[in-house]
Amino acid sequence: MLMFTKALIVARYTFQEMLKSKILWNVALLGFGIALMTFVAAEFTFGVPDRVALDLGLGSLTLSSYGITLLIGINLIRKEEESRTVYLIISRPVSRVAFLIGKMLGVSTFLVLNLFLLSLVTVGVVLSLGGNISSLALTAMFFSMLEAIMLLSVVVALSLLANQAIALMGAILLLVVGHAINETQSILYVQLRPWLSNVVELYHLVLPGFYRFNLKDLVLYQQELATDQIVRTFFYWLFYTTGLISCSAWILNRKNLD
Amino acid sequence: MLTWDSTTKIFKADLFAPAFTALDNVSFGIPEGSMVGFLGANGAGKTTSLKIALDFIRPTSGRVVYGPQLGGSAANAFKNIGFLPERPYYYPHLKGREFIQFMGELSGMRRKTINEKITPQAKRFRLDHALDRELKTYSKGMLQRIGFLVTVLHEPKLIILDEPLSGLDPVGRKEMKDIMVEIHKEGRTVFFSSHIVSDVEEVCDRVIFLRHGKLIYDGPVLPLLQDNAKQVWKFTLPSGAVFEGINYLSKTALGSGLESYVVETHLKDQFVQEIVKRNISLIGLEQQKPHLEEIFYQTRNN
Repeated sequence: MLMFTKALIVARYTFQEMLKSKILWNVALLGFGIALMTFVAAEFTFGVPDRVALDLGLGSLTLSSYGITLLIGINLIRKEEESRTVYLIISRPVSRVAFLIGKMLGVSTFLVLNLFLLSLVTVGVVLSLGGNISSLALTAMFFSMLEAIMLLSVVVALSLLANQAIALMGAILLLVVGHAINETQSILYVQLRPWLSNVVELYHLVLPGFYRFNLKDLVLYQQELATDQIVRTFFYWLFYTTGLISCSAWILNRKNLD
Repeated sequence: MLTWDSTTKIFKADLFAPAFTALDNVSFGIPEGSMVGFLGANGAGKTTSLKIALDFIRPTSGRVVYGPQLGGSAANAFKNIGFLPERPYYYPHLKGREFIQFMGELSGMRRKTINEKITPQAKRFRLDHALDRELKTYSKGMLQRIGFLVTVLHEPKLIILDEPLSGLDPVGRKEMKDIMVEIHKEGRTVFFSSHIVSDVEEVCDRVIFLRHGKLIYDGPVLPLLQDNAKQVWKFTLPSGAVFEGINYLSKTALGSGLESYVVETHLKDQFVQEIVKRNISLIGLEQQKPHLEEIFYQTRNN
């Protein structure tokens, strides 16, 4: 209980610090970008400018979340070590685990706020073009938030294991492969080679499957997504993210902070 | 209060790099109520010792013992310790007031108590004018002062400062030293590392000296000075005086028509009589005391 209280204090001030940095300006820039691109693209579409707006909006908020998550996540603990602020915190009655959870909670709240604001811009643009927002579109936006938090836990775990460059490359690699892996099962080359199929299966078991959070195609082609699929994805996110944070906490607890 | 017991720390950058012994079987302690200076050149092992005590890094062998005054265990001890790391950069976008609240809350203080303490403490550390400014606008001295403020805010029993005076101008150093003395007089134990011997000599009653990861001295400052004291007197006289048959240790031309003679204590009176006999004008006379720095230089050279 005490650990969670301390984590919340760290989270509150981390969020406050991030809010005052200029990162949130990206919402204004991207919001303007979405509106402008939609206006231009609408000129070249025939009767579906609202879908173009939705496509651009969902794409922008996903890319924005990737950029911000990688940028912040890679430095989240390392920067605290380099600036020695971590010493100020953990020399008080604050455990390393509380510190880690607090930092991740603060950044996650910021990421959610960032994505929420961008989602609002997207919804506003779509509605102003006479379109409507389906519940699946809202689910897609919610899944983008979950994906950003999972990516954050991946990049933080990697940053505790390797240097900045390797951790960043690893996170980008996992992000790309994590989106493409689902398609590889249907490739004939993989199907004809059982060992390769097993590797892909193993990947599914161990490494992050980011493709689960990508609902853009379903939204744009107005398809359905079963409720149990949404629930399954949510629990996948919950267990995977909790597992990764636990691994990071284990590493941080054993790490020499020098 | 806090004891390093046979502590060794060996660093190895990677598998192929040679091992480096930062601390070599070092044992020393900080008595309650003392003001202890932690001396040693850069790389002597001071910061490594502090990091081990605060559990930032683990020793290769040995341990750190937290006394009953600190609660007896690391978990309890951190409630009673205030630590200021060497030149931290803090959170640039937080205001001074927010940063103090942040650190106070982490130390387990209630918000109301923190808010009551902020103004008097900010006045004490001459930061009251800057509490509502972001930390990125603070000068180096101000950052050091706010760091010190948050270190003592929760009234810890033991205050550990890592190079608190480094990077400060003479005025800033004087201010910091005055505050350290003041806090010590309030009954707190202060332990600070420095590579500047004169600072330690000025304010500390005990000193711990490390060299290449080994303990060279642990004890009070005064006996160290007395034991190593070669009592001498320095006479300042006009140039041209001749003292035949008197043993003085050295003679130095000072410029402006003056010379100084350094004479051992047992020859001081004889030297005064010679000056009077020769009708020489005595410009100055002072007892030369050895400084801690000289003693440590001697130790190092030996």
